[in-house]
Amino acid sequence: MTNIFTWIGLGLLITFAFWKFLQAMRNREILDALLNSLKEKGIRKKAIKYMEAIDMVMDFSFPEANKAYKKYSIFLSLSLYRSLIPFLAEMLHSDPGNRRASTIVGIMIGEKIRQAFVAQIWLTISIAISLVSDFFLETRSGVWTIAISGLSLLAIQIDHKLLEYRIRRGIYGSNAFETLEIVNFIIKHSNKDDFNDEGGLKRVIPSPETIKEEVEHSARGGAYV
Amino acid sequence: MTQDQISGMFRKAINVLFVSNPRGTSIGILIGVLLDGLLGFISPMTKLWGWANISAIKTWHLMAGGVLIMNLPTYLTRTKVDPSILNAIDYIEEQKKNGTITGWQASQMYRNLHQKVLESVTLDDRTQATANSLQAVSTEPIDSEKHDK
Repeated sequence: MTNIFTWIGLGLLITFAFWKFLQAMRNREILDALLNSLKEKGIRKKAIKYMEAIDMVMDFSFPEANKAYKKYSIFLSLSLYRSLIPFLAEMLHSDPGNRRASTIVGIMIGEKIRQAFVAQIWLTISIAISLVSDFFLETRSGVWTIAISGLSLLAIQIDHKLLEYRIRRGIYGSNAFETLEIVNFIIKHSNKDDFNDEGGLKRVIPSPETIKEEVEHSARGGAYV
Repeated sequence: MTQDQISGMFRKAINVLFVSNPRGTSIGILIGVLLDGLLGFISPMTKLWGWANISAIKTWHLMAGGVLIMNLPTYLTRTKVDPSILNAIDYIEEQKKNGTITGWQASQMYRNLHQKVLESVTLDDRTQATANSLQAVSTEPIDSEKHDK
């Protein structure tokens, strides 16, 4: 009985890998974007800028990694890499205030790419170990491992797709959850040595009144994008 | 409920359940698998020696334990968001709920809040260096391209 589930698991794993491969190969959007952009003025320098920017985000995500490592990350997190493009475009065309915010969200996506890459590798290793253990040690972990790891892999991919959708629609960061996601990233990457107020902590966040005034002002018509 | 709101709701649900700490969760699952393999390996010996019957421990028990152990440090050491930010978020949500502001205005307020927080924080060296490099790339003029017609 366990063997049947093991084979089903293997089949699912191969199907998942094949689907990801097809997805990467049939990325018509990238091809169309390249063909259209070839007609645009200054395209060579613009393309180099995009590549440089993606390379910088990759260096931030995988500072110690080699090229092969980075290539696998594109394969596993294609949606997140695609999500970077609107931010890079906004960085090239927006004013300095918006550019800074776009830059930080772009770097945050870079961190998500790293986390997703590591998680997907560990989950795949879990499935592989479990299948080997089922064959050779006659354990019975295969079904549970495939179910839980498969569900987690699926959840990661769905999250990436939803993130890509929301970024492309320009609505990322427009609710409480995503605001906290961005704020948490900023606080996590803030300079902790720069704190200097009571208790050794600088007040890096303005007072509630200031924030309230700011957000009220923006609601009266202060446009951001 | 619009498609945009549904996508936001699903993202929140998925993140809360699965991917808020993907590394910890995935390593926790791996630990569960490894322990299960180890138990599978030693269980014939424990039976032979008349020790406690460890077959009562299921794979999912070990995985759940692994996930819990790997997520606990992250949960305990999580960074607390400043109350002023939480108040601002509550304020926006309250205004939206009362109908004082539209969804679009709420989005603008959230974006304004991101900018405000970003302006008030000094980033760590590595993040700041990446941000500076990215901004330097984006501000270089494109028009000077010689090869374009």
